[in-house]
Amino acid sequence: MIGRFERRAFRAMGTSCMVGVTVRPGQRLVARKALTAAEVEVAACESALSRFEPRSDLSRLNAASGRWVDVDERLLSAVRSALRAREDTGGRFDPTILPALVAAGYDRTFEELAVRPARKAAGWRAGAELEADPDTGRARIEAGAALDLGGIGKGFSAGRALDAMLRAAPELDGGLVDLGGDIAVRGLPPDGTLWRVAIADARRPGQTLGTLGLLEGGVATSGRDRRRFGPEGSLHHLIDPATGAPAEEGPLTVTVAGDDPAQVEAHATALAISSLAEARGHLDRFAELSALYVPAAGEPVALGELAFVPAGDTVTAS
Amino acid sequence: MRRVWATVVSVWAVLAIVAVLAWSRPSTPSAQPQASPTVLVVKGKNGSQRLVVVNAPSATPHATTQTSPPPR
Repeated sequence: MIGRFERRAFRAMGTSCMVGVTVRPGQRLVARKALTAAEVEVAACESALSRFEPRSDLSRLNAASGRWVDVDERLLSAVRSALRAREDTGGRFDPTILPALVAAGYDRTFEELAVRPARKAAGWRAGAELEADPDTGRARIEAGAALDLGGIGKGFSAGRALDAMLRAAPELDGGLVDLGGDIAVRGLPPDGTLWRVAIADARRPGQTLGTLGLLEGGVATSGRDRRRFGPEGSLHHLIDPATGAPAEEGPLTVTVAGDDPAQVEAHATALAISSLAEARGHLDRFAELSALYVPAAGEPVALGELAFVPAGDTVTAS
Repeated sequence: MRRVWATVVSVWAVLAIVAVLAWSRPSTPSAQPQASPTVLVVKGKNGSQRLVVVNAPSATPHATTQTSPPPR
């Protein structure tokens, strides 16, 4: 053991959040400073990236009808990250699916949703023009389109919060940020080994499939086990950009791990609407990513540089 | 009086025997601990990957990943 785990829990982005750092004796005050920096950064990201906040930078961008808008540096970075993910996933992740999502029935906060049949968004198409100019600090989205960072925003914010945390207290050994299951880690955990991130088992509430050991990077899970709506919960929030409707293909959940927490979440979103064969092909192209693909029935499948040892099996250290 | 002393000595003798037996008897081994939490580190294509999922029931995770709940 090199220290203890000092953590702070709070609510932000509509979910439970936790930030934590490894603290050696005598570092208590600096740890608090680090945790506060992380919490402040999460709040700042929420103010810039939320589509449920009418005054957020993202909402102003969506309301600008195709004009360039001065936006916070966080939104600029998030848009650039989202554009990269859209390209890398061949459009399976698309941050401009909001009109299709609203038409499908996810047209207000989840608690206020009314049950109604899904509609198709008239005239909507995937891949709307979206630009971010870091030189001028401005962004633009084509008129009639709308930006939604729901499939990348928490991973992006987790990475930002982790940066802020360890920048505020560089003498700390390591830290972790968990935004509703989107997780970023860096440095050493209190036992000086690896950060342990359990993977919730969507088929058995309260149980886990196993534990990931990470040195650095991010983990995110996407799936259709939660956020169901529409008649008898028949619809879910994962829109297939190819059809503009809730995706029919895909696993119950998929967990992705890799270096960049924002990209990890975006790729998890893309794999959540992909068949196993598609997911396998996708992971073959991205050596920095690993995934655990959990079908609705059957055993989880590990993809990329990931080994999965089912519960009860003996593990031999390598 | 003699009988009293005999009783006291007998009681102490019995207690002494019990104590000696308890001390000399090998302690019952406690239940075998769970296999220690094992984290395998695997090397990836770029030489730096390090991910594995293991079933490590006694390893308390630092966090749990799951599908995000619906935003408010």
